[in-house]
Amino acid sequence: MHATYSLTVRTAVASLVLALGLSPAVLHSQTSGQWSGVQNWPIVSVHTHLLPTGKVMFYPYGDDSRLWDPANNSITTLPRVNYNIFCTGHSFIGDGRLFVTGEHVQNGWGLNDASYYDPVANTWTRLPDMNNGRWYPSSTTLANGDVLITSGSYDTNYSNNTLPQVWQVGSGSWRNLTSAQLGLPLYPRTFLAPNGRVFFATSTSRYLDTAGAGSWTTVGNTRFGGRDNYGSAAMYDVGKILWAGGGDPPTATCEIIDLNAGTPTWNFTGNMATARRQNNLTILPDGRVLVTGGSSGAGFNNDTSPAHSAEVWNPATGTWTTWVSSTRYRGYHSTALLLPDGRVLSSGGDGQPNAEIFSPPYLFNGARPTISSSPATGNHGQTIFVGTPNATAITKVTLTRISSVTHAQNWDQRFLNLSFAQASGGLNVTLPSSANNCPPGHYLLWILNGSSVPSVAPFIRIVPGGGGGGTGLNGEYYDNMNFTQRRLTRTDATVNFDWGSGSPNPAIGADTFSVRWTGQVQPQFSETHTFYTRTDDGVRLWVNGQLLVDKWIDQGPTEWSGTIALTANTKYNIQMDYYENGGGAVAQLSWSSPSTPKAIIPQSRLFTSFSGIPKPWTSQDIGAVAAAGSSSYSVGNWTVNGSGADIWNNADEFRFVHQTASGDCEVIARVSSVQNTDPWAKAGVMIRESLTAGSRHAYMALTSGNGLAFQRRVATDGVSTHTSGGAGAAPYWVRLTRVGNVLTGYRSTDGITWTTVGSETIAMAATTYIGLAVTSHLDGTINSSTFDNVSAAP
Amino acid sequence: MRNILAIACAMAGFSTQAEVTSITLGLDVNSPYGISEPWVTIRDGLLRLDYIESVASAPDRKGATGELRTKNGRVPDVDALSTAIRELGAGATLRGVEATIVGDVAKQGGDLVLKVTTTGESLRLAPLTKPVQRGADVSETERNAFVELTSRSGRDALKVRITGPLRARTAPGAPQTLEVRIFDSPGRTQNQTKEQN
Repeated sequence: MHATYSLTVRTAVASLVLALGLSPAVLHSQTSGQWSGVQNWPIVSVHTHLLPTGKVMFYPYGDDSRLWDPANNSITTLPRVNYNIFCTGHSFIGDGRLFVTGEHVQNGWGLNDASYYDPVANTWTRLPDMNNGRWYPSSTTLANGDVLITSGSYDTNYSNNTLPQVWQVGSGSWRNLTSAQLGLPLYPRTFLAPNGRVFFATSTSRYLDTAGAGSWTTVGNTRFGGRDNYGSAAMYDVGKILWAGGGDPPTATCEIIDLNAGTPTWNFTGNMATARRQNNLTILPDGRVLVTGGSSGAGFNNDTSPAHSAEVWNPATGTWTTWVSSTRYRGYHSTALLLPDGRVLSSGGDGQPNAEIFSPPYLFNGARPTISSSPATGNHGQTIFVGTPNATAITKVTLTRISSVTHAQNWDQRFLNLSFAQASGGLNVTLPSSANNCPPGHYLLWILNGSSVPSVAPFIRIVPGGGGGGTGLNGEYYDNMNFTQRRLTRTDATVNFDWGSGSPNPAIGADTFSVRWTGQVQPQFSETHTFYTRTDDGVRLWVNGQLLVDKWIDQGPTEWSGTIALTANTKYNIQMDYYENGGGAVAQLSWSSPSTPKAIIPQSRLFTSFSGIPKPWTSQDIGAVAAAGSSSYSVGNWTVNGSGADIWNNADEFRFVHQTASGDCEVIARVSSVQNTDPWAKAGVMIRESLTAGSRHAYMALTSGNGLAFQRRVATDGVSTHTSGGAGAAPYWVRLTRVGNVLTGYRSTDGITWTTVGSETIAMAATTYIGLAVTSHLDGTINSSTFDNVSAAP
Repeated sequence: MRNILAIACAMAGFSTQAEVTSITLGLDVNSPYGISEPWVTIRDGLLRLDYIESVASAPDRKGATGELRTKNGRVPDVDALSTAIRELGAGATLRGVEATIVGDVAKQGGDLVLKVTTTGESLRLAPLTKPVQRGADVSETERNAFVELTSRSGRDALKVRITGPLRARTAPGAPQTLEVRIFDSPGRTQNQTKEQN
């Protein structure tokens, strides 16, 4: 039965081959790729780098760098740095120079040297020394372009250099993370994470926060403990890391971790067909991950059990597919990297002064799309035009960062999917908004068609800032759902959070919290823009004072949208209010326009400045004030500027910041200051039936010189009455409640323990105005008083 | 030298309660760079074992050994420890374990036994065969330590501190064996007078 089936299949394949005029070899390449022949190189490529020039730099033990030009397959000698750069650490800085740290004296003993190699000038430049020697250090380029150096040993006892150091590119100096000293594995696998910290993919995985003197946070343990032992790791998508092989005896297991999750955890993904250590991972233009080389035999560098087969991991399925096998053993001291033409260079290994080049199957699956033009540089969040005659066929646009490889680890490569839209003669492509996800430097820009066939990739240098030059939005985080218990304020680069079942901050509970983001948004194009919220749970979004999304309801992660016409390079107020009730917590803010592919609004287009006051508040003068008042808001702090003779007698004169309420309601604020324009100048909270001068109302106020007062007018245009709340000075909390027609004023020193000042029955209409009221008690003179912790339950 | 000094210092606080005061792991590693290169990974893995209290931050490269302490003075199971180290995947295998244990020595049948009172575990005592430390010479004093301890042991329990290789059980249910390289008891220092290593 099997023989018959097999014969039938073979016959069918043979017929297809004949019909298509394809040889079996071509068909095999379409499914499994193809290796080039072995080309001999003069030295072993222990350290290999794809330079922004498109050429490949490599060096072995000693001081003998070479340059391979894929265009003409030539190898030339590079200048010497004048010390032994074997077993150094390296990564690219933003301008494309290679930053190299350490110097090999003998095994375990590294010196404290640091140098740049400039691939354009073809020169080495010595830099200030590190704190101590480092042999096998790790180099991680940070979001601001600086470089973190960790680990490495400095003597023949392999003593670990426990001090993390940040190379500050701008000042050309070192910053020591003195609070973060820790013994680490040699050549730890490090990745800049979406939260801006550096993730150490070590058997005990940790974050290093490089701010200030540095601090560590433990993330968790790998499932397989020996992966530090020459497994290879790669960030195959934003915040997502694959760690394959390693250990002794080698393992075929692989693990993944998603740093975007609330509680990142290592989990097994599919096993490779072949167990390996000393293997290399290379991220392909389509986002799959190729593993090449390594040994499947026990021992440090077992060349009797070479892992020749290439395998590819598909992140969508978590499974590996075996491709064709190379010829040479690529074990200890071997490297692999992605070339701009989509092929993979596999080279080196002890005793292997040679290279092979792998052509993945996508290079045998039809015509490749072409890029006719693309910018040499781009800013985070910028939308760039990529010229291509194949625009309608493009289904994917991606970036891969250029490679810097040694000891089974590529320290620079990372992969990013880009959002894009078709345009005349090409594509509008939006570059990643976050420097955490896309640290400054050089990347390969790929366009792929529906068959996942990539173009040849031009280089693009991602430059920090630029574009709109924004820094993000103000984020106010409250430990309840109605914006009254603020625990944290910070600048959020973007609104793109999935806290899972966790919390945004230890000071805030995992459930029943709220966040208010305020600032301004600056579009790149004069077009109608669609703003999208995706939240779990409720959300409201205002742009330029216009309510675009109003879904203040419990919900699973749900997208809502609204549109508004905007003018290019004009800044508009934007405010997003969000609450989380229970379960998962998600908050994302995206946009699109005809020229802007749908994407998270990038940091470069968001600003912390905010004019006026947040919605749904409005502000106006009440009564015949002699000087116009105003109000402003900044990250939870309110300033109310009011004139007026007083809030008293039969008619009032003051500035009122208010929103409407219906029925029972409450308003609370902490009066943080009252300007002393008169001892009876007042700042407080008010519930008012109308916006006329003689309206019924209740008012709980702090005066500048006469303490606290509960005032009210029970009849329209009637007299006012007053109940003293005793002595008090700012800061002081005031509160008003309406229950039925009973209005009650309270005072508090801490916002927790409240004391009733007075209560009055006032027959108000159902709909009222509640908010902040300030009068100078000196008409014509502005009283500038301030509030915080303002909340209204209308 | 360091081991001897440590023991000599610790003797000042000699406890009569049975306990394991230190454990030295002898490790063979696959790395051409010796035990130091994978040590952080080995250390991390050992600290994940629930009975390990602490592990030295650096190994002894020359002797290819690393120090650790167990929680509550627990005597480690050599076979289980060997398996755990192998499963770390760090390219390390357990060459041997040396332990320093304080307890009561008594003759039991034909054997000399160290009774670990905190756990009730008994360890069979035996002469030193081979040190755990790589390249260590065996002194005359060490070679004769077991014989001397035997001669000092009578019917009554003798409180001693013994340092020597801890060997795995030879059969399920059988006791682990502690080879006597160095021993001491209150008022006796003779066996520490010669430096080792």
